[in-house]
Amino acid sequence: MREPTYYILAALQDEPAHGYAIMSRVAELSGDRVRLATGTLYQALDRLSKEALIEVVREEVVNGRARRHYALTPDGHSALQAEAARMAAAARVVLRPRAVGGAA
Amino acid sequence: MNERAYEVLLRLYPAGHPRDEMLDVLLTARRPMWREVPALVVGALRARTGNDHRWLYAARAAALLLLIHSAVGSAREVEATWLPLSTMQILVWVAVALAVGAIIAGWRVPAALAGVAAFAISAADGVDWRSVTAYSLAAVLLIIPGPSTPVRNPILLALALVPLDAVALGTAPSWLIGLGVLLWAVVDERVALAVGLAFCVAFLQVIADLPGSDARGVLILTGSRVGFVAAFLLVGAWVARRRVRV
Repeated sequence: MREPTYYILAALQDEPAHGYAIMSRVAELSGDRVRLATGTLYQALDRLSKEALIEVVREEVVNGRARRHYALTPDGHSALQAEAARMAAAARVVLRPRAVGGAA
Repeated sequence: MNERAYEVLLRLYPAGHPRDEMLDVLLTARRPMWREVPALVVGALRARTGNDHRWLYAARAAALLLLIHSAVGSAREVEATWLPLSTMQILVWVAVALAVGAIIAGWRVPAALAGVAAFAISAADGVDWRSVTAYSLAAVLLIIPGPSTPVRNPILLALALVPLDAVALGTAPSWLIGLGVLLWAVVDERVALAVGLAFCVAFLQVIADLPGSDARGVLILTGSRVGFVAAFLLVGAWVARRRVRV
């Protein structure tokens, strides 16, 4: 899974959100490392919708413009959990306490 | 000012796209335009070209390139009186026209049947072996089973009129066309894949045409052909692989 995708899914894990909220949450969760351009965000949302990892759950009109709210699907939730577990396992390989200098 | 510019840019997206919503995000985020514009343009072009069934689409697009390219090549040779205008040749062109129409419409079985017919008639005629080689590869590519993938791409139709050999031999304008196809992979890698697949036949044709004693010539041409085929296929496959990743 690509890093921006991971953070987009992570941004939706607690509650549905609209485009700008996702963009802000991704920046916040990644410590400002992943800053999505609007075009990139909507390419990702389109792809994730096609893969059935997210879905549109609500639509409203704000300032005369449509605003859709996206949410994780059960598949999206599973994919996010699986990726987080994979990265945690990979991190443990490096971060686990080790005896300095090896076995005597 | 920004709102008007963004509205114009968002018109590049297909009608079904959430343009309103994107405009809302763009105006709320208030980022510098130079940071937003490239992704907006690339996103719009990708949304317009579509990107499903990459390899299957590329195979059918390669068949389209080969069929048109060879039929146009034969027509040029008939015009230059190097080839006789026979009933068989006319039947080949009819089969090619049917196959091309079916590929564009996404009719898989009629496209495959017409492609095989073009190959069979040209092989029976046995006059223009370069075209026979191209039609044989086109027929094989069209037989590959899979869902309907209409190939409606004006870039491919235009590329079919460019002599593939000239691109592979690297004359200046042709180099630029090749480079353009590689750069276009940012938007639609299937064109690079199609050109790479179609180049395979140019490679086979040239090897068949070379005199056996000219080992250095064979080596140079083999290298250039393999290099070109590899460049287009590798770039296309690399982008396709990245796109498949979520």
